[in-house]
Parts: sequence; C-alpha cells; structure tokens
Amino acid sequence: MDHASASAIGELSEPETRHLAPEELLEQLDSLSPEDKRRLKLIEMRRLSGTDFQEGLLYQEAVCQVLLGERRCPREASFVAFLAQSMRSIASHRRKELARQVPITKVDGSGNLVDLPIAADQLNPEDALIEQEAADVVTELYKLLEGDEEAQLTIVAIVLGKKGKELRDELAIDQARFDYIMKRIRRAAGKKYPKGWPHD
Amino acid sequence: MTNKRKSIDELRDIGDAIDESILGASNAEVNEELASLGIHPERVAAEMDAIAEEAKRLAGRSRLASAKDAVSAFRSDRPNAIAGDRTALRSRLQGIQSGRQGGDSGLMMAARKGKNMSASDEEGALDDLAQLEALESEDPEVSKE
Repeated sequence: MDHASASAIGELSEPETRHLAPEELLEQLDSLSPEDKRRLKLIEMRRLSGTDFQEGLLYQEAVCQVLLGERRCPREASFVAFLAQSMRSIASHRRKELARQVPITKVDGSGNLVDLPIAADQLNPEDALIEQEAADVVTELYKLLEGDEEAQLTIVAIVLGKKGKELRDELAIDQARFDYIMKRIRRAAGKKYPKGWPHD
Repeated sequence: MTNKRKSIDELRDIGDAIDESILGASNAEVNEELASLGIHPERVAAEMDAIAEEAKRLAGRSRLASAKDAVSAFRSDRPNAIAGDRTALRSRLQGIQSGRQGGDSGLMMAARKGKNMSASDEEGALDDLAQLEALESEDPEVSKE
C-alpha cells in the first residue's frame, strides 16, 4: 500500500470530522455520569407518551441508533443533549407511524364514534388529528399554570417561537429566573403528563 | 395564507424547553422529580448502564447481520455459474485435478494438488473457475496469459 492510499483510508473526510467517531461515541457513552443518566431517564419518561416504547426501550433504541451511525453526534454538541434529542426524534417518528394506523374518528358526547370533520383545504386526516390534539395540550398547559402569570407568559413566548436569549429578553428576565420558571412549568406539566404528551 | 404557527410546532418547542430545563436542573431537583414518578434515583444509573450494554449488544448483532448481508450480496454479484454451468465447471475442475486439461496446466495448482478437496473447497474452486471463465469470455487474451 502506498503512502497516498494509506492516508486516504486513515483520514476522515471533512464532513466526517464534524461528528464523533464510533469509538468516541462509545467513550462518551461509557463516561456518562450518574447525574447525566438520571436526567436522561427523566427525559425518556416524558417522551414515552403516544409511543409503544416500554420504559428503558426508548433510551435503548437511541443508544442503538447512535452506535450504528444512524444518528451522528456533532462534535460541538453536548452528548447528553444529543441523546435527549435522539429520544425526542425517535419517539416523534414512532408516534407518526402509529398515528397512520389509527382510524380518524372520535367519540362524541353521546359515546358514539363519529368521523372527524376535516376541511378539504386543510391537512390530511392524520395530521389534522395530531394538530388538534397538540392544540388541546398547549391550551391545557396554559390552564395548568393558572395563577402563575410569569409561567403563562413564558409559555406564550415559547409558543410564539422565542428561544434562548431572545426568549429571556422578551420576558425581561435573567437565566436564573428563567430556570426557576421552567422548573414550575416542568412540574406542572409533569403532574398532568407524567409520560409527556402524545404529540410533539 | 396564515402565519400562525402549527400547534404541533408550538408543543415541540415547549417540550424542547422542558428537556433543556431538565438538562440544566440541579441534581436535587432531578432526584426529587424521579422520586415523584416512583423511580428510585439511586437505582437509575445501574439500570441505564444495563440498558446501554444491551444496546451495544444489539448494535453489534445488527452490524454482524449487515456484514453477512453485504458478503452475500457481494457473492451474488460475482460472476457465478448458473446451475447448468456448474456441472460443466465441475467436469472441467476434475479434468484439471487429473491433469487431463493441458490448457489449464499453469493454473489452479492448489486445485490440481487437492485430490481430496472438501466440499467447501470445491465450491470455492468452482466459483474461481466460473470467475475465470467470465474473464475469458470478456477478454479472450486472459486465457493465453
């Protein structure tokens, strides 16, 4: 083997260097702290709703996909956040798969199954059902925070698409205050939706 | 056309904000919230380790299955003898082994020496021979080399 071909095999191409290599992923996985694992457990718990994943299996699927290279971790990303995001994405895909198998009906006030009214120019029936249920959850979350105006304003700002510094600036609060508000939102949501909501 | 965001996107943003807040929460808060779900915080790390080990095992098994598929695909792509040709190839191989085919005298030394070839050796030799015939048919000069 000549030098040129050896280096071509040994070196990662430019796009590959932007992501963790398989051995680095294993290293990151093995060095997760007990605290990181507890955070990931909490996140997994609130991503299970609407999926058929049993507790533990969503995390297992995420780790599996990462190790198989089906999900690539950007070098600059936090590995814990990347695993959390992978679980979110896997759960979301699974919900969509399951939604395609669900008949587009609902139970009316008298207990009868009725077709959901879908306008012709709207989303397809599956998407329309998901959209309606998502709207119901957003409304419910807002109601859960009744009496906590700061938390309700935060929900409204998030719903408007604000994130990070822009979100904090919109609310005129610092990071510590934002963390405290999010803790209240997290706990209120956790009581009503311990396994998260069925869509996202 | 409306600029209103879809509720599904709004809900995803709320969910992401909650996940971020969990990643940034104190250890005490995380433990408290696990406990509220009936999960013993002290047991979580060992459980997550066991799940990760199982994921590693499954990923390894999946990789092995993919490798086997790739080998099968590679073999099926190779110029392979169809069933009818296999008999002719076997006859040619036997000829080589017995020294009857002078034209192949410079080829397949191992095959000629292998009077007692195993079944898999013979199949491999037949594959090689099939490949050689394919090359010969593509370039008649090959057989003269």
